[in-house]
Amino acid sequence: MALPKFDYLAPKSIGEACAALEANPDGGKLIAGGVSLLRVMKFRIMSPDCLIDLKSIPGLRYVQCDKDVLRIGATATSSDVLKSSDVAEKFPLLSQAIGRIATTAVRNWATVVGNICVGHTASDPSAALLALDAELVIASPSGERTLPIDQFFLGHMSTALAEAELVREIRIPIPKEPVGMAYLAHAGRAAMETPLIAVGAALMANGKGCTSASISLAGSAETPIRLTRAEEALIGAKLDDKAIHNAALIAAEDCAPDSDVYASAEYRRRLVAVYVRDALLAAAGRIGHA
Amino acid sequence: MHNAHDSAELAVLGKNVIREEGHGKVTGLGKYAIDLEMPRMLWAKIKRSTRPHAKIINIDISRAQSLAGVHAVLVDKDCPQTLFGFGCYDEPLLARGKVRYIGEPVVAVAAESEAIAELACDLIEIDYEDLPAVFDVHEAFRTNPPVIVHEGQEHYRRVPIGPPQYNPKHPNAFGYYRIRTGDVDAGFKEADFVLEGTYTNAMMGHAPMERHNSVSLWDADGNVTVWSSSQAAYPLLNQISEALDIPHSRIRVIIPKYVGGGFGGKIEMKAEGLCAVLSRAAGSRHVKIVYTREESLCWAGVQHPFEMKIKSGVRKDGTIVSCEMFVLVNGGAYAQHGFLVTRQASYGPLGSYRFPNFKLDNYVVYTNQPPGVAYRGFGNTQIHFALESHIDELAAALGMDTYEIRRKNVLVEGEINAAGEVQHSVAGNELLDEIKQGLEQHGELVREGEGPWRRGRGIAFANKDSVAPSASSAIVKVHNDETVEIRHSAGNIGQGSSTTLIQIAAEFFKVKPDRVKTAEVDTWVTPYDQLTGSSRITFAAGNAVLMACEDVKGQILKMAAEVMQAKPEELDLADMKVFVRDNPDRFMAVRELFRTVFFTGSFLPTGGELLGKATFTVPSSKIDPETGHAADDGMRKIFSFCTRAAQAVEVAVNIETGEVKLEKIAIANDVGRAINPMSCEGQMHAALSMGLGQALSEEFQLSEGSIRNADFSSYRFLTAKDAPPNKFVTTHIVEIPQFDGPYQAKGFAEATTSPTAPAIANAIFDAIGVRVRHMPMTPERILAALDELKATNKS
Amino acid sequence: MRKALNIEINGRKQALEIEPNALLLDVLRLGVGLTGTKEGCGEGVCGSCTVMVDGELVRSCLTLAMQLEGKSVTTIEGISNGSELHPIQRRFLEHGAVQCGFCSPGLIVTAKALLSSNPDPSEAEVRDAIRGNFCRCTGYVKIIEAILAAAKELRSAAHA
Repeated sequence: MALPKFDYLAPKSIGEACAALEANPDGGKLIAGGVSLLRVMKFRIMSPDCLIDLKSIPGLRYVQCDKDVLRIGATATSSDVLKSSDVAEKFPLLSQAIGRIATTAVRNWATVVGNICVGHTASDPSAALLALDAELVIASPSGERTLPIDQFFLGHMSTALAEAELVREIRIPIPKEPVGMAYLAHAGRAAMETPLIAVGAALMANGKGCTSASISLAGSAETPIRLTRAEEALIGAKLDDKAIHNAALIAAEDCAPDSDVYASAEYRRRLVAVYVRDALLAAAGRIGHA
Repeated sequence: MHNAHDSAELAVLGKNVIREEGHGKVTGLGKYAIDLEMPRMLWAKIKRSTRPHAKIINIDISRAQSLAGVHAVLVDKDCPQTLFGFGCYDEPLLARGKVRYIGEPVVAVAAESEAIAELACDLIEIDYEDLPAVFDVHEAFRTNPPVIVHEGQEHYRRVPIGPPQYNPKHPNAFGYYRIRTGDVDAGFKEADFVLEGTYTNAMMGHAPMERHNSVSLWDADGNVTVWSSSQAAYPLLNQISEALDIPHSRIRVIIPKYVGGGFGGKIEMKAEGLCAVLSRAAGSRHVKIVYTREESLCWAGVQHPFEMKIKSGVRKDGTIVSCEMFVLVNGGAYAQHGFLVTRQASYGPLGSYRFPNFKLDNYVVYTNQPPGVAYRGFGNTQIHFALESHIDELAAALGMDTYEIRRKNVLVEGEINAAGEVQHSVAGNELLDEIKQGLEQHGELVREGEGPWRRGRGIAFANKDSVAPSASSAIVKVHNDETVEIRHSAGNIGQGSSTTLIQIAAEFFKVKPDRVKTAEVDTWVTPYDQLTGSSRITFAAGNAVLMACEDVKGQILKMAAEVMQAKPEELDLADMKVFVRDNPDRFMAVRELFRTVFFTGSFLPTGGELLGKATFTVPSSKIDPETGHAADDGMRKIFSFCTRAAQAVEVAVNIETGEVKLEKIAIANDVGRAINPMSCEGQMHAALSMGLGQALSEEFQLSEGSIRNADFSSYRFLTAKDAPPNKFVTTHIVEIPQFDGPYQAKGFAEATTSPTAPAIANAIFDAIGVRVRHMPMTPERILAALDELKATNKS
Repeated sequence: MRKALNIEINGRKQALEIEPNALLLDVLRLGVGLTGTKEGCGEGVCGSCTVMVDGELVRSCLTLAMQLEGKSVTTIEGISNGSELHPIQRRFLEHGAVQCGFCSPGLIVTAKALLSSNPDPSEAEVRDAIRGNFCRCTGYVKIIEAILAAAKELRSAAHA
């Protein structure tokens, strides 16, 4: 499968990259790792006439832990994130999600920002970042804006990026108190398959019960979603079997899965109930509850 | 035909000799057909039908022809107006007037690069007029079907095989086989218990890692040369001859020493002939084609979906009294291997068990789906999934142990089976004993713990008959440095056939294996072999090689006799030394036969070569087309040999998600004699790739003739993480000497994947009481069956 | 329009001119004639195309060559030391881990990377490391045996 022909641009700064996007409104596309992009180009789903290489911009490949926030740069690879001890320690949910992606060779080259910008509903990093209340720093020719990730995914393969915009950085707020985190996904094989569904759970609790609940779900709606009703049901409740089962049932009601070659919508819905329950149990277990 | 040396220690047999071609494979230096590059080579692409059944109204190739870098664009009228096939000649090189499946080749392009060829295909416009299409095998099988896929079928040229293949009552059926033994209805009356069941399998793909590819040249002298990733040089040569309407003598087929898997999917001609026509049209330039993964998965031949109805009657003690089977095979749009799969599959049950009364009708039917071809097992995988599931269902109904019911019915040495064939080299209880011990060594089954997993164990038996009549020729040359060169057309598709033949010859000559080599398969050099398939190479090629070795040994002894002034019958040969048997101190080295002569170097003083030549043939008895029985002619032989297999598995089933994990497996195969035990084990481990995939995850999702999951992301090819830990995988080589095999060895590689799916089906039943009669047993099907069980239990 | 690419392949510097849309796999196989790296699926799933870039594994069928300016690529042809096989290669042969061999180059390169970063992997870790290398023939059993045996041999050599 040959790639279609295109021009290759190697900008040296974000400004140059945005300008290149602006100059090529119909046929210009950013490439970082290119693992997703080149694949769809081989299948002729997309044929941009100009690829703008983010990897040629210095200073974008970092996983940086500041006092209050973890920052992932635009060209940080999935392996970079996995190797970060800060991520492993503070955001095991993210480590688990990214560890699920394909295999080492893909993670070494593919970027996390690139993955979420595809806008696929069954993206492991998207689900994890959604559960972690991440923010995206978006650059454009006219400046920068910050967008909470739950406003980023608009529809299947569609994000809130306007023309000539790019995601410069992912920011994840570092929790001040203990958080129990878990990430579980289900696929039709033990590896090398997009999840049918995936659940990211992050819970905080005190002696009285749950003080904060964040549950994200991938692969069971047009976009990755937060299960807000299930989250609300947990707040203030003791994180016991009953509350968790109840939350899982709400989750199964609130998901809107599709059927495709991987699985039927009904099967996905059944998996949601099972995996939300298990993720919540695991997350609660990590902070000594349930 | 050779038997093992009675007393001599076998020096090379039974050793884990390293693969002859291994170095090239681990260094990446070996060239597969896909790696070949020829000077000024062009690249071909095929534009394929997007309609399952349609008239071709118009093809506009003008924009493709005028694209820079395009050297040839062909449609049917530019090709020889032939029909080729593998016993039923029904297929044109390019679609003729109509298309019969999504994926059928309609236009072929040769261009200077793959990218240009692809672009050219994009510029071709085809107008179709849709015709009604038929996908369901029942609909297609009807006497008045909604669609007749091949209207001219009655007049197609055929190779006769068994009963008449064309039946106007079923105008879409293109193959038929039948077996009649005893009186099944009387048998059912005698039985204490009668059970019926219908079993099916999804369409699946071979998925060899090296996609189908070839280079073809139709040169200015009118000769065609083809380099192909193929399993079968001579069948391919023959099909090129038929398709291009040129004689064999003008065709040369070369198969590189490095072939990236075949599994039955590389036996027929793919695009080799078509690319030869492109080559001629492009001014005799080499034309290479590499199928995309989608093409290789879907449109180079798939595994046939079967529907198998079994009705059987047993006595209380588990003895089978009567069995009736009705099989419908969804053949797809062209016959290809369909009729042979039907025939081979029909005998499947009869190689395992005793059937006093047996009736089988097996039809393979045209539909507008991608054509099916031989797939590891030639239909036996499907048949044994059905039969072995069914046997367990009988055991459950009788409250009988699943080993016991099989022990009751397996054939024994020398028995005559239900088709009147004498059974030689029969493994039965030996295999069952091995798998039982193999699985139970891991401890007791723990059915349940906390959580949703339930464990169970299951077993299955299977067999594979190797085709007859069969023929294989070999040439063996002894060089002046005493190297033995084997010239044989067995395609080494990864099973290690070259090394097996090397070990056989090394054993014969009593030399180290590194002094034996094989030549590249090249029909100018290596003689006729029927095919690499049907598990036949060790047996047929091995015997041919031994006979050729015997022939060249005779020449050596004759020549040495003159030099040593002895009689040839007084001499023997070992380690490339000719010696007097009664006085071994009188000897000479074979290399001393070559003396500088004719001013041209170290050749034989008489000219000529030390070149042994032999053909090994396996006849078969005449077979009654009405009954499928072998004639009582002293031979009573239908197949070359039969190999048997058994597997025992332990699975864990998740009752919430329907997931099944294979946790333990014992794999047993009868190999006659293990020439290379490491290679034998390697073949047996295929249970964890193809066997497991068939059982749990591999299936093509078809929708109106279109395969929707035609890539490795969505076709569930299993990974290293899907297989159990090595310590829970045991292989059990059983050696029941094959009396007429080379050193009593035989083949077995197809029977390594047949028991896996039924063993898993039986283990799932043991775990959760649910019987899934369809392969693969996916999580969704298991949950559906569990739901049904719960509903039944409630009511 | 062709562009310049300076890249090191198996220790040898190459000054190439390539199309912007050239994939690393095609540069290797067609550009410089190193056909040891294979294409099994063309979409990064099967692992046949695996090579190393600056010592890290990548899928050459989905890597744009233009992004590799100044980088160093190691392919299967660069694993052996001249004519001497690397222990991983030797163990693959000795343990019967090679059948059709099409997956072997990708696997050997993957195994080399694994053992460089984890010289004493458990079987589970080996399975995880090779989860993206598809093999149709072997069922992975002997491949894992071979990698574990090579790991042991390399550790002994390191201690010696």
